[in-house]
Amino acid sequence: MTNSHLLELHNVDSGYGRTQVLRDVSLHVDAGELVALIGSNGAGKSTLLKTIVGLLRASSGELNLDGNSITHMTPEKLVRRGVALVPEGRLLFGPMTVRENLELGAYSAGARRGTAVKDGLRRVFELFPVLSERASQHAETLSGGEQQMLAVARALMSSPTLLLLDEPSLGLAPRVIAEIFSALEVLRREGMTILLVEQDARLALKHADRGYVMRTGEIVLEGAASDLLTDESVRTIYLGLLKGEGSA
Amino acid sequence: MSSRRARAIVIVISTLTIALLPLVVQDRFLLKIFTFVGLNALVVVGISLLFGYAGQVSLGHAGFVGLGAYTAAFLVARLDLPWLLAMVAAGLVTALGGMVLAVPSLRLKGHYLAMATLGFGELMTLGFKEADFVTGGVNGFSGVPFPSVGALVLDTPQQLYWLVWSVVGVALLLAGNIVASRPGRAMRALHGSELGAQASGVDVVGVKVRAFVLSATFAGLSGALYASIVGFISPSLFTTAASVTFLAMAVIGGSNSLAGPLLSVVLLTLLEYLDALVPGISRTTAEVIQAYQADIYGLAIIAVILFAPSGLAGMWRRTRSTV
Repeated sequence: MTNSHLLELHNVDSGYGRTQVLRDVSLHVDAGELVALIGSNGAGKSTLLKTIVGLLRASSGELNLDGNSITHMTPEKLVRRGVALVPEGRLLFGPMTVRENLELGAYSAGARRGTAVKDGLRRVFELFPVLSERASQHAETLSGGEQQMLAVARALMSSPTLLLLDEPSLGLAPRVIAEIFSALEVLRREGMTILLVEQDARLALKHADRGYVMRTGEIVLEGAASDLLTDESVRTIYLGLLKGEGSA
Repeated sequence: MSSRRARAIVIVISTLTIALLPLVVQDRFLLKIFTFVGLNALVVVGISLLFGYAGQVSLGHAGFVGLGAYTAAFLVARLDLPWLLAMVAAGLVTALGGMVLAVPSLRLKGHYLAMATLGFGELMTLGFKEADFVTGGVNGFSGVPFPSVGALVLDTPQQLYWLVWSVVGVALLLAGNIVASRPGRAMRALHGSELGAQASGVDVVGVKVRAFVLSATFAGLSGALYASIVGFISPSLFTTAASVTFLAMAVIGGSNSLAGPLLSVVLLTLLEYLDALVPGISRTTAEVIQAYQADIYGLAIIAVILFAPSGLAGMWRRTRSTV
């Protein structure tokens, strides 16, 4: 059973200093899956992602990647193991150019950086052609949507096997959101495994294979995305639909 | 003209000017001033890496200058060690000091880091005053011999000038290489977004520690050179005021640049010796300017932050892009 999951969390507790946020969280993501993690503000979704990539330390529980423990691994080691995070609010390097931001994404490639950068750039420019037009522009001069694309592209530069996204739709226009999600679909078809945190539950579940629902630091519900979309409690609490209303 | 070519021309001209200056300027006092410019430049190059590139503030770098100065002075004058060995030891001791100061930077940011480094600087000054069995206390440490390697003693103003500027040259080459390559990008990433850098696989702890160690070592070497050139050091040279001056030079020079801070060091250091440099200027005018030096620095910093946030380097970049 262990070997079939790419990412596995067993009874993980985590938080900031002495403030515990996550309680006994267990979940798994299989290779090639797109899993959505939904829940309202403050449910602990970002905390969970930060714990997975090693920015926060689990105070108890176990995290496994491909069957190996990653419980106390540093973020830079995890990037080398193929885990990449697109952080909430993008956290780009504003005064640096688009190209420099992307080169930093391939930072972990070390000595193989030359070819890693070349291959990576070709791949992300294919996925987001607008970035190649903006390559020598400073990141802070991009539009919100372009910045989000750059954040995704930067994460892809480390050639991850597991891509974690924190609120990629936040503050973006619907057309731009559609563009970013169609890029995620392309990545999926190429075999990328994705764990997606979204406040827009409907959007996330529509693209996902499976979903987890978080509330106050705990997983309260899990299941196939299509089941969650029709689940009564999910519909009323997270999709804002009234009983009997059809799915959009 | 491409900006690359303009850059190369500027570098060649300034290198030649600096290298050939002692052949033109024979005045001992003037040469000494230009030597001091080099000593300040060495400190500021380090601060530019630390602050201008990596975004880590330090209000305690004069402490490292002092640490290097006293280490070298003690080893050469009291223990009779060879000068070159004392220089290496001063570099190592300050590198270790930089590692110590990097520890708070791993947890503190912005104002809090500024306070921690300020405290470090004050502690160092206190140490220089109190440890009088090593440092000579407030009376200072005198009788530090001139730099020498074997039988060769460097004691003319020309030789000392060339010695200091060669070290500055090596430091600049090293710093230039760092900022143009992977570690430099990691430093700028850290400056841009610490969390973003971590998420991209940058070893943030390592980058911070290396930036602190390198800048502390440059400052320590500057102090060690100062001690053996002037022959006398005292705690009043290595105060928080000096730390603020170094930081001011780096800020006015501009972030993400080495040339800007270098220019700013030259201008601001020469400001101190205005009466010696400008023949026509009256003694009183010069004294007034010197009395208000700290205020001039303060105003310059405010002006830079308000009107030209990327300092002299930014102004240069803007003129290049509009021409």
